[in-house]
Amino acid sequence: MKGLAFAYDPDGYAVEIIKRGGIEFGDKKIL
Amino acid sequence: MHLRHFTIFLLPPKTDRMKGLAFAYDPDGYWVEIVKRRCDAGTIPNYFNFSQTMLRVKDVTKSISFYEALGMEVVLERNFDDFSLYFMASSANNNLNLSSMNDNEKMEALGRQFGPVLELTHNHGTENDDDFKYYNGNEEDRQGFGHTGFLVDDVYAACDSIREMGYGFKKVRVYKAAAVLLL
Repeated sequence: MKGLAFAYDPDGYAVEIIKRGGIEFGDKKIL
Repeated sequence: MHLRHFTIFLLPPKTDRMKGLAFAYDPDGYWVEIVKRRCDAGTIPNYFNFSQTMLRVKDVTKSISFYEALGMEVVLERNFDDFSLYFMASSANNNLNLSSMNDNEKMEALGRQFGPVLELTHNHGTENDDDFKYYNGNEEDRQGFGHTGFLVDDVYAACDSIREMGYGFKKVRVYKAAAVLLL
């Protein structure tokens, strides 16, 4: 899967990083 | 339907303590702050517009640096006896000339904004307590708050920049679960 990740901020809060324009799952693109 | 018809208010509106401000509970008990908009009625067509997420943070210096690296900037700082509030907005959405404004003018300007802000609450002294820690909402048996989200053009480059700051990432197991849901 391309276009998505979860980082942790200094307090451990989850921060979702999303590709602008959509996320790709194999040949599927989710807008 | 009016919010008052199905919501118990933690702090009802129109009290002498805080005018133009109320806190409601959503169905899961999350607090929903309702704030009077600072512009004429009808300027923004929605009665409600999503305005802010508040996070309690242990060391605000670290948190501000982190979110600045994610393209945000502090647009308003409010200091009280035992706590401070830092409102951060994505720089690209901030077309206000806030640097020339005093705090009241900033509050007026931000109260007319449609875009959301991240509100960091710092209770003074937590940064000096080695044992102090906030729950992030995703721990086993303490699940609640989920996450904030940011859009980027290049996720890999964004992750590299966050990794260089020394912060980690969640394991990818959740991605597989998400992929299954999409099949």
